[in-house]
Amino acid sequence: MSNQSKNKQVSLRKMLKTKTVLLNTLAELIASTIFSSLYFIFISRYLNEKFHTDYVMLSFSVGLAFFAAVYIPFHTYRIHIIPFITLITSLRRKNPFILLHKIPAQIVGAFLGVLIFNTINERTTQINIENYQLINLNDSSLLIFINTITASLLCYGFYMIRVLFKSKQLVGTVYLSLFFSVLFAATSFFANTSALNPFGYLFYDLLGNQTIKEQAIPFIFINHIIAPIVGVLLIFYYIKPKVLSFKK
Amino acid sequence: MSKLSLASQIIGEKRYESLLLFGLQERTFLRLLAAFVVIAAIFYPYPRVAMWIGFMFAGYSAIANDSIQTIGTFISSNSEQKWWKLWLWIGGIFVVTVLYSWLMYDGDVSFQRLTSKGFSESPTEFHFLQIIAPVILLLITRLRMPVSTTFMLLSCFSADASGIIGVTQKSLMGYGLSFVVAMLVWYLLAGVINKLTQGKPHPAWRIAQWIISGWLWSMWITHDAANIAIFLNRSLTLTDFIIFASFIFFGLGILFYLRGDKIQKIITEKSQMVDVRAASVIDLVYAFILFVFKEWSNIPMSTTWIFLGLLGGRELAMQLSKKAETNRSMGGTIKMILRDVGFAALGLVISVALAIAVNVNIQNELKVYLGW
Repeated sequence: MSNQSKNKQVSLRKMLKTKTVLLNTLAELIASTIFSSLYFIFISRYLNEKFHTDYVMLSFSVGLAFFAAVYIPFHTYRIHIIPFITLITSLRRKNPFILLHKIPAQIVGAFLGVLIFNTINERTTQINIENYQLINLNDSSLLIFINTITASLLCYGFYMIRVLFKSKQLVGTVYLSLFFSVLFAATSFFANTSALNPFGYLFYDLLGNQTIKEQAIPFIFINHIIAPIVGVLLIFYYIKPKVLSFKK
Repeated sequence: MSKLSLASQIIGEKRYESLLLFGLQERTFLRLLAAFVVIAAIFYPYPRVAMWIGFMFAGYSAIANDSIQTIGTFISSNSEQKWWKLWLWIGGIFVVTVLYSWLMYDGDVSFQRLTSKGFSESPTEFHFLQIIAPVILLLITRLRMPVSTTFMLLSCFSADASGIIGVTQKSLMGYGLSFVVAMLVWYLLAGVINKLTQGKPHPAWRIAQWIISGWLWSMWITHDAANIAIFLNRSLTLTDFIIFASFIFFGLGILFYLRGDKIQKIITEKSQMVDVRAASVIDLVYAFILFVFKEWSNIPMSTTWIFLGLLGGRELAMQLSKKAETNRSMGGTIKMILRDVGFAALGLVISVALAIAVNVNIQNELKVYLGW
């Protein structure tokens, strides 16, 4: 094969890769927008008496929102939405590159999603999401623990379904959504848990709704960022090798 | 053999593989449906927006599924014609027909079908299932099941069970009558029809077919515009009417450009349907039956059931007649008729289930009936 055709092949491969990255970024952005808007819309409807939504229905709806967000934008099922999932995936592939294009897309998507929710909420339900946090734990360390566990379980579930059982298609998305529903049902009623929609809650606060007002900045950092990341790392470096060795 | 999975164990490996294949082949379409469900989930509590979203979904599903019964044969037998010519003819007839109803019946585009008991009130709020009923219909249509648009869409809006019962009775009668009429026409006139369809068709047949198809199409609209208009106010303003008519008009354009939807295959698998003369005879009989039922009463009915009855009766008559030619055995014909009836019944069951889930009045009536 001549040098010219080799170069052509390489440049074609590069172009295809760039195209895939661009499409994945766009898909991640759309998914994040859909998920964040639906997540808050469903919670606001749960809080609004007019909708008669019970807690099981809310959890199921949030799972459905996750499913729709993963399924609608792109056919490759590589969508993460939650940054902790992106983190564990980048660790697995030893490729931090995906953090560079997925995380910004998730951030922008969550911002757009919250904007959409706020627009709809202002005109209709007029609900403050803060009211959803049904149990206020006074013990900060317990709250940090719950947020860590939630992020860890989510990443563990993702890893088990997508990587270990190789359910990378539609069926895997269905399992993952069901898992997400259960996780939401189990943890979301505690005040100040954000692991299931971290960027969504971040922008909800930044846009003036203040679910984390009057909290100390170190607590905010530990609870919403550091602790979940530690949980994910723990899953990846400690629990995952044990599971794999058990399988062998 | 596919890898062992929980889903394949639950529903069976063969079904699981077919489902996977369907999901793979139709992934873009399924993603579109999922997007529709999300849109419905967001907007169903806001009636002013929800009614237009419901209308658009219903319009799309009616175009993809129901109208194909009428223009399906027209598309099949005019495959060599330019798509935009067919579109302008059929689209033009649509606009003229609904405009007539809008002018004559004080803004009602349904030819007073929605003035009948159970459907006369404009919806003031929507249930989520009401908005996604057309999406379910689209999915079933894609699976090539000829279910009734009327049942799927109208039963969700019926104020009480009597509305659904009325529609079912009239539709059952429609199926029976069209089956019998088709049997008689194709059995008694088999020789004449057979002679007519020999050799190359005379150019006059083309003109006749366009006129007959146009009449059939307008008759169908008089019945089934109600299925689309059910989401909207019973009396449309001028702006409402323009949106209503233009959405369907341009939707028809897409349908003609694509030369029919997936359900089109159900037409081409029937005997001699692509022949302009055979198609014209079917359309004429179908239009006549629709005309009779239109004049008979204002209760909405399933045109799909009439169409299935017509095709079933015709196929059976062609089997029994020695003068007609058909490309399948008697067993195959009966199997085909039963399969179509089965799908139509399945559609009825799904629509009744939807109606029960949506409507508290029907739930209460059912409880009383069951003695709970």
